[in-house]
Amino acid sequence: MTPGIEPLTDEELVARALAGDRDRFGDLVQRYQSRLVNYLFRLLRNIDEAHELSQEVFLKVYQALDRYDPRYKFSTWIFRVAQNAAIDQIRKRRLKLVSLSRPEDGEGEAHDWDLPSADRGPYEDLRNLERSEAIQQAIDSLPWDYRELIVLRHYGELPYEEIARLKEMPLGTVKNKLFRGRQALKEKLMEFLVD
Amino acid sequence: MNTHHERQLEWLSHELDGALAPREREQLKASLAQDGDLCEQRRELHQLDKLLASSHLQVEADFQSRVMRSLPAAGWESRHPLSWRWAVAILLLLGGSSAALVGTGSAHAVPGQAIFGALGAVVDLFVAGALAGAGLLSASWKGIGLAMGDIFAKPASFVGLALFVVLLNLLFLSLLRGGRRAPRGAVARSGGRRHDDG
Repeated sequence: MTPGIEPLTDEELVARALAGDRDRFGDLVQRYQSRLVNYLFRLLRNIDEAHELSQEVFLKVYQALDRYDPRYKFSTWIFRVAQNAAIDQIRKRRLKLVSLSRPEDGEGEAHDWDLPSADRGPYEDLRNLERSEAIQQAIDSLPWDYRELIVLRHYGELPYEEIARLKEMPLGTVKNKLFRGRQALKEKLMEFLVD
Repeated sequence: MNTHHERQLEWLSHELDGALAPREREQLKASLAQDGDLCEQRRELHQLDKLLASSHLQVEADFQSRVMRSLPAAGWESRHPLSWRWAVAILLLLGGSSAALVGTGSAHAVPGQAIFGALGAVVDLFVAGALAGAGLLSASWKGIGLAMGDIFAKPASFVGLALFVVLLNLLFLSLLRGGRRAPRGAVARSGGRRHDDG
């Protein structure tokens, strides 16, 4: 970023994209891709699905860009689309599971989400894998509403106010549930909470 | 766990997110200075935050370009003013040219009264159009009349035309008779068979 030049806000980028500058939508993709993929991955537990669904979310948002209401935050809107897409996906999976009566990839066992390992030895890779699995299991063990809030805050990086708007919850409830979710996570991940 | 302690713990969570009010921050700071357990809770909470942050996935390298390549032509794009600019420009150009032509044509008709002049020019245009249409119509009837006159003027052409008309009538008659004959033949054949059988 050039010093002294303020980056455009999400709402400004949307306005420019609507004025015909498609590359500004690319800036929005760049800005949100990591948060969306991580958010969806923590809910779906499958990297490929998280990427595919994120792509779908961006397409949906682009197609409905002219219906975006700039009085609301763009991030709230895009995460609402992502949240609905994730719920649909989970519902589809459940239907498949019921009809086939066997576990489906990504639903029961989380096996393809170890962290990328660059310049690490085998011991560290193993430790990293253990830690990743422990984090996912700890998140999965939370009640759904705590889990959603933790994922929205830590992986979607949304502030309290936006989470409250997205989940249509009072701000105090969001704060309290996040606190309780974190307490539960701390207990489950205690062995990794060392300096 | 007492309520006061729990509230302090909740403040730690809010502090982590930068959502603690200044007065609460001061109170928490004072509590942290006295309470070792609270300090330990705070350390663990920050460690948890780091741990979760370290578990962020790397997005596929070509993800953004893939999204941009797959963007469809959204409905709003076709409704966008930019997509209409050429059509609008051509329309304006044609409208402007017409206005200029009509204005020029009408300026000398009723000088000083542009609106009446323009209306007069439009009426003139309609009249000219109607005259042109009538001219074309009469020209085409005139053409047919001339052709007929030409045919009747030469006996050979007249005989040729008469022969052509007679042959055409004969052709129609033969077609009509052929259509009737076929069923009659069929009845005759079946009648013959009955006779043979009997």
